[in-house]
Amino acid sequence: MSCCEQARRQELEWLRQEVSAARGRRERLLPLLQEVQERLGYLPPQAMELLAAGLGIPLAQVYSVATYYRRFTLTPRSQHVLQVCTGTACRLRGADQLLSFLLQRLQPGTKASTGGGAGNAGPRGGSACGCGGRPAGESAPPVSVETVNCFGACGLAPVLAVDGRIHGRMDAGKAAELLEKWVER
Amino acid sequence: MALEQVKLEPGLRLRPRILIGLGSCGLAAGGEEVRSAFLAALRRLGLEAEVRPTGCLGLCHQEVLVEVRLPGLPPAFYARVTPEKAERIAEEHLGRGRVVEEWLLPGGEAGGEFLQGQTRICLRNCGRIDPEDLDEALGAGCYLALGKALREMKPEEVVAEVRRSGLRGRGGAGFPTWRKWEEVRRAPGPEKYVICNGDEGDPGVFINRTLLEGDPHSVLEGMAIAAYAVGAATGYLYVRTEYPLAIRRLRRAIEQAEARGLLGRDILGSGFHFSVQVVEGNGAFVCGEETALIASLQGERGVPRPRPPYPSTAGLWGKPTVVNNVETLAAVAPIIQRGGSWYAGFGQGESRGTKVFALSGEVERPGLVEVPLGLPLRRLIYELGGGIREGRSLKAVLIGGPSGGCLPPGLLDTSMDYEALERVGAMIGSGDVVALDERHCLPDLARFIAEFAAAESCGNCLPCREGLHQLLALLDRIVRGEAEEGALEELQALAELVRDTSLCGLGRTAPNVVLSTLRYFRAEYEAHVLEKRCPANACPHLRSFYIVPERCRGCARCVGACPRGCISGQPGQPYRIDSGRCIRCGECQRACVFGAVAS
Repeated sequence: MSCCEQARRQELEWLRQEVSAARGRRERLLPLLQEVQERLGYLPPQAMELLAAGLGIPLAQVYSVATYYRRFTLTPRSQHVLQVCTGTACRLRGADQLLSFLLQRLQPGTKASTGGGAGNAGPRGGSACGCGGRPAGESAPPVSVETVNCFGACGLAPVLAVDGRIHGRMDAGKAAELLEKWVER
Repeated sequence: MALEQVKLEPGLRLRPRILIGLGSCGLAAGGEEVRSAFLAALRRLGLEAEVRPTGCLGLCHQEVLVEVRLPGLPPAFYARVTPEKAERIAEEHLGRGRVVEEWLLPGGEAGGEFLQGQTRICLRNCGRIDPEDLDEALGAGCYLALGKALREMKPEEVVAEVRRSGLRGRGGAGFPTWRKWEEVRRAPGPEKYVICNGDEGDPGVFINRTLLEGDPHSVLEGMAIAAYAVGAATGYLYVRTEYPLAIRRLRRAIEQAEARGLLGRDILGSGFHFSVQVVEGNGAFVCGEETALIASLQGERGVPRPRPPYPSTAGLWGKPTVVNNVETLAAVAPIIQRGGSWYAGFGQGESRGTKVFALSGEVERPGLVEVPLGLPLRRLIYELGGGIREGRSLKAVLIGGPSGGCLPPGLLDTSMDYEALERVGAMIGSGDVVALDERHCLPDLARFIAEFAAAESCGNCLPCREGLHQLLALLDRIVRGEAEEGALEELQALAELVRDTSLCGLGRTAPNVVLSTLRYFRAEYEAHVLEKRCPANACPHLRSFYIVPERCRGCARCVGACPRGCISGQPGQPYRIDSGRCIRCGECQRACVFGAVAS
């Protein structure tokens, strides 16, 4: 067992306790899903099974809720998440160019995915090794580029968030500096 | 405990203070670095001053904004402060008492036209207090109105006061606030709820964020007054997950208010209980719709349901529920304190009071402004927004975001109120005002809005789920120059169908941008369809690139940049582009340092 699997086991132990305290209370589903996503960086099947059994909801419904909201991911997220705001103001002021610059530099040949919110993009997971508690064998690309609807920092458009931290008045040059500082070390 | 006994920290105003704009905008502009620089400089110089975070003053374009207050002197605002500037401000202003004039906010203390032209009621404390400190909120008058309501007014009197104010929902629909309250107040049963809707999802709007980050107590006070008026003991504040700072500050504000008996059990010794919980959204735009929001609070998929019944009869857990927008609730305390007729003195017709607008896009001074309803659009763009950047000319204004409409310069004298905007095919919506200049293509803007709405449609009802995708496909063909004659009639008919038959506000308002641009900018659509031409020269598929031989020095930079390898020639001689193979990406134009690639 890798250190990460151990970490994940501990996390699920925590969830087991939370679930037994919330037995039968359906409204706890979203807050608990949020917390699992926050701690592990994604929703593993075991966590959804635990929630279904504990809260007394069919597993299909847990899955349906988990896949409805943009915030949750069923596969591990990358260690670094870059989020390009594509809100109206950012788009008018060059978000598309910023996005294609990042994609070209980091993931040639791929398209951006639509991701969750800022609160969702902090450093992943609770394990010390920084792999996000990911089980061995499952791997995510080290950096992912996502688009978000709007951070509400329209006055500083275009805006780029690096691991949840928002940077304003962006252009390719400034983005390159940020990448060198935070991501490509 | 009476409010008078809630103690204020003595001497609050007697120390030198440095207030740093640390809302999301300030942080994005580097506010944390500025704060560290001030702290380091003060330590180095051996000076004493309080360094405090504050919310957003609305001058997003001037962040990082720093206010320096020395006892007994008027405050000085510094604009676009950097760590280097911070050091000198500490040395000169705090150390020697000399204001660093050249870095002051243009227009002086009050921020020039931008602040002076406003009537700040909801934004009264934003950017003026430390939002993480209850004492500062109390010093600014927070919770006085709650105390007044609890001690001097019956619940029905509170509703009557709000009725007199003419306050209407600021989230988009503009429903009279008092009517929601009255219905819930009269509803039978002891279990009722107050929900504050902070799921501000429109791209281009940041009003709720600014209020929640900059003045959380005023929103909480509004919620408590609403709860008292309708007889609710529990409230939920639903905030979108993209606003982590707002969520953190709200949770902190609730803790502080509960510790002082301003929220929670037996508020101010009145016997009235009200507890509030912050609930984080999950990144679904449709959850801003009240029935979807309620479903989400209940742990379900955030899918809207048909109304009636309205939440005021059957809301959260089927109980009577008030759902109000953040901005609506921020206006409540001043209305209770100064009276409904005072508030109704602003505005005109059926649109009373003030509204916060988020100015963005190509205006010189993007930011938040609060003005009386009914102000002409022209003054918003030219006086408060400072006109269009780089001396360009205004082409259109998008009002109300993805649910609003796009107005031409000919309608700049439209007054910004609910009815007038509806008449010209726009709506106040959540209050975003995005200016576009002549470089922007409106069919492309409509395509972008349709793309957003199609992605956010929950899929529950057919017209919205399928119709928006069809609209998007049609607009895609138009901006690529692939649409055939008759496309515009089809577009119009489809947009009307989606508008008229969708279940909730998302589908019903999403076609507005298409319809209003068709109405006011039809010629631009026709150019795309009939002439396969984009008049703004913005649509990538309709641009063609060529090299101007007189300017080309034959340096071959464009050859290296071209991903298709379709530029050929001899070094030193003018190059040429094979337009048949060109994919119109524009890389050559960006690469050329002589301006020889034209389009």
